[in-house]
Amino acid sequence: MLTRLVICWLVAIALFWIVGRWIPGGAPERAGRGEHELVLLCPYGSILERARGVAKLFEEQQPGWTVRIVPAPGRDYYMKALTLLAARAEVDLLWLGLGFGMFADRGALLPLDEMVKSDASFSRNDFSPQALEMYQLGGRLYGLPYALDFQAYAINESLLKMAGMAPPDADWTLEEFLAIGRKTTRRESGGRVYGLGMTEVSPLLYGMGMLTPDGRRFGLSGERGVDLMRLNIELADEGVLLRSAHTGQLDNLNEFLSGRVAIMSVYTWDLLELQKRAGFDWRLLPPPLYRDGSQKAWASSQGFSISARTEKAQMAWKLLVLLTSEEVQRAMPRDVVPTRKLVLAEYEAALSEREKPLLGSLSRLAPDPRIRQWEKVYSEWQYWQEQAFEKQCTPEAALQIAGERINRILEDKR
Amino acid sequence: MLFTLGPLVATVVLSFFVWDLFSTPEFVGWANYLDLLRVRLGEGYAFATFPLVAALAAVLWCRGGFRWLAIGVGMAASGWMLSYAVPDSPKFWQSLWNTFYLLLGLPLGMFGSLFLAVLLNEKVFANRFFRLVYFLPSVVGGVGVFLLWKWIFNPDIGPVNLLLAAFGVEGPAWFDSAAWAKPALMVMAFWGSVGGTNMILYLAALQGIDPGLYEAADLDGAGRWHRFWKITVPMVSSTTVFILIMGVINGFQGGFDAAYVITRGGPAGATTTINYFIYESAFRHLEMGVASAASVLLFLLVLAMSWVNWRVTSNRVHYT
Repeated sequence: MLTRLVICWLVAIALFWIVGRWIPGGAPERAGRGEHELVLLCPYGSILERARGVAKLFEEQQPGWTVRIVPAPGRDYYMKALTLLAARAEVDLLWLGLGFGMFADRGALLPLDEMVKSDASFSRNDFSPQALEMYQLGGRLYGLPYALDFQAYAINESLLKMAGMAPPDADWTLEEFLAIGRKTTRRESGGRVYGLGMTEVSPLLYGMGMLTPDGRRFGLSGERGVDLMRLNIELADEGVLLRSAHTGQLDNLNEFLSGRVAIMSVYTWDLLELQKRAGFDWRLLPPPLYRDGSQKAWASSQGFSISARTEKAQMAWKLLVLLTSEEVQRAMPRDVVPTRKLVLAEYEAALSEREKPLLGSLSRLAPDPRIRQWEKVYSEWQYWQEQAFEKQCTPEAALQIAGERINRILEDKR
Repeated sequence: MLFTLGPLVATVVLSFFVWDLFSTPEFVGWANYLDLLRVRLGEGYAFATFPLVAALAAVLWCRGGFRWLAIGVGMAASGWMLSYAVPDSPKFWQSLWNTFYLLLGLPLGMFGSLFLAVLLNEKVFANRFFRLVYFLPSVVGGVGVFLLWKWIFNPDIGPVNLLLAAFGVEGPAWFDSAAWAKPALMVMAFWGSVGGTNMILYLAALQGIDPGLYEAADLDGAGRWHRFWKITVPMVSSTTVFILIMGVINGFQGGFDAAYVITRGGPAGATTTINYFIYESAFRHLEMGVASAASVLLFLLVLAMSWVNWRVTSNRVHYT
């Protein structure tokens, strides 16, 4: 009996091991170990595939050196990466996007300014300044971007035609946006909404951000913030937009592609899918103009940074430059916007007519400030926004409390 | 022992520090506890927990009707204080409230388990098959089940709302609604627990009851209800107390997995339990001190509730 049990266990363990090796990404990537090894932390997804390709190229260029890629799940990536770095895990380079400030402000990243100066073959001027700016903190550079992500609005022209409306121009206004949203909301005879006009009126559409551009104060205080929140609640009451997209009920792109939503805020990473799968007439537009003439598009970036604890800074820099090089950016699929000026120009030239309006957003980028307490500030804002949305408190009270609490978090330097 | 005591001691020590994993921990005394428990009342500060602590003390020293009166007054005073006060940490108080709210499903689940156990204890056709069927939810629990329930309660395509629509009723948004998210979680928990371990424990207890007691009751002309109420319920009371105490402990420590997978604690914090609050503080906001202080408070709460349970039920249990 005992022998059978032991055999069963051994067979089970062997099966788990074999299946684990077989599943893509299931087995740890161990290209090698030792002094001549760089460890790169990277989230799953298309970027992981790209990083693997670059690692091979690097190993060819630097004989004797290997790159070990540690893949991490995308959900809560920043928290996992922070915990790994805090635990002094062996990480030389890591992928970073919006959460860059949480790392740089904690001293987890290596400043790159000295390396930039000493590397004659590298020039900051080759990069789009907007993209490079997103990896700077306190005047120092902490990472190099390979991609820009930003927002545009996708419009389902077929639904607009059905509602008897002409498609708007690139200089459309917030009022036009709201009118289209209301008119393209579709209801059953009983009044139940089955097709949404739009999904949200974000602070950017009001020319505001959750934080002030310098990231020091809450940015939605005052009459305009209250007006924005009231408008969102009113639209949710009308059924024009959902009261809460908190539980992920709304998969932005799929909702748009299935024709459920008429106007959708889309991002550069959605472009490929949009081109492949949209079975109706659509076009892209930059964000609508607010009443005071301001026009802002949410923006972020993707890039790599070097860990402050690395002992192989020089080789890590070489890998970093390769990961963001022109060749690598040129070979990227068109779901990201390149950051090297030359490649960006080629990208812009290759855009189709219906995608060209995307470039309208490029000159109006409004990235979120890179701050250490980003996660906490964002979750605080989301909490009070939902409190008002769910009518647990008035918009004025929600904004006042959110403002007090967020300002207190931002002031706390501990 | 070392692996159990080490983290326990570390948690208590860390609860007096501010630490974000990177910087050197900074000693702040009781500040983390004050931030969690303190409420602003007008111009000053107060602790909404005082009346509750007084009520707990009354449970220990009062007898009979005074005990319940003291609990009622304590709860009402705490509630009144909280309704007028602004907590320094509203999310913590909301998570406490959510945890207590979700615990309301426990008695319903216990009654359901006992009811099922009584049914399955009868010599009916295929009762072993039914025992297996009712036990299955405990075996298949996990992320897959949560995703299944997310679909079941989907406002647009979920079977619950489609069924309601067939009767002309517009179903709520369930997990997307602050008002309906907790009841939806309670239904889900009821499904998972009613036929599980509790049912097995009750089945075992039922099979231990002396059949002579039922025969004697039959001779006295007792009906099914009287047999159940006067014999079955008292004879399984020790099991009931065990399930109640374990249920309360698990209830206080639970709710994380469902909140993480289905709702992320929302909407508007409606499904954030204490456990999820601790996770968010520690691993989303990197506030290890606050998370540790909340963990210590949770421990004290579980200890107090278990003590109250034991004191209140000790003279009502019939040990065979």
